Amino acid sequence: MGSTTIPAVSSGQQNLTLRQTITSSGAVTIPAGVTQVYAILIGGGGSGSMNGSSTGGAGGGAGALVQGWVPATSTCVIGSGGASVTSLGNGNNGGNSSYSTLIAGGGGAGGQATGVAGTLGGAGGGGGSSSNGGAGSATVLNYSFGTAGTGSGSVAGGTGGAGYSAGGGGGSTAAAGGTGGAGISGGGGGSVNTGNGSAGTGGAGLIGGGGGSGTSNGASGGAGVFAGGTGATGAGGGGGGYISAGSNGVANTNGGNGGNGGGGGGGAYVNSTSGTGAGGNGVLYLYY
Amino acid sequence: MATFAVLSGDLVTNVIVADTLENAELATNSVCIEYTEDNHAGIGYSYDAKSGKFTRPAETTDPVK
Repeated sequence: MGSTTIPAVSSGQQNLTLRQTITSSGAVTIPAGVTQVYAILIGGGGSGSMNGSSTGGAGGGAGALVQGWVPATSTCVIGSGGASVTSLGNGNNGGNSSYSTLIAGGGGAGGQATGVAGTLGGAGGGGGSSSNGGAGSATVLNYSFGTAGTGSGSVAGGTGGAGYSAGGGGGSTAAAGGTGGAGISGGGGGSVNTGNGSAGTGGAGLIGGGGGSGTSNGASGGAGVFAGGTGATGAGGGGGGYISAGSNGVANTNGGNGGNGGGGGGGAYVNSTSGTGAGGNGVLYLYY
Repeated sequence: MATFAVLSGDLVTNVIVADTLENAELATNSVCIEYTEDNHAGIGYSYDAKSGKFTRPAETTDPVK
């Protein structure tokens, strides 16, 4: 029987350099001779929810982060952060980003009731009122994902499960809102009712989830590579993104926006004059 | 930069950022429509070409506990 000699893997340094940081969809120009690139790709963050006059809103989940060696291709899609909402309801999911063979899902929206689960690696949004948070994405192969925090009408909301893509914290009408789970992509924080404790902070990680809010308080967004924003009365802070910090919530005005690079937006309550925090936009880094 | 809804029929399947509509459609190979804060879009929204308005999906009924 013949034999095949497998070449030794080079132990030499790759000398990779960050060549391109791409923040919008469209054409990608790759120099002649470059056939493989190392890509880091992030989806858009989910936006926070808005809730009723006695209950705050929940934070949005962080966008997914995926990375790897891929064939160089000439176009990319960069997911937009979920848009702010200005009336009662869920936030918006972040958009998916894609490049070559990679796809990074958007973070789930904060829920007026149940938080929205993340997809394709995105983290789940926090839960509103007494409802559960959203689960982290279950579609990331070989990686764990966070379970949703349990909402409650009698005790504090549950913390979202930790994982590659974390779960959102549960909301509570009786005690503190649940903290978003920690992970590569952090979950959104849960909301809380008037006078019943603190809202849930966004989950921390490489990309932070948005903070939840009550009518009388607001929780910080989770820290990512950059810091999460601080909360204020009725407004959660935005989650820290991979390329910029989350914005602070502005008291009785609006939830903080998630930082660019996938941070989740902060929740807000209905008397806020501007709306909930938008999710941060995604990004593509190319090394070669 | 502007934000665009990626359409499949009248359903929004993704939301993206791009410099121009041409770039957005080139990258997605789909029909894209710009959205704004006053007429915002999200995944799962529907688009009415006649009015140019996006409509959010009906809330799933998940009773508040």
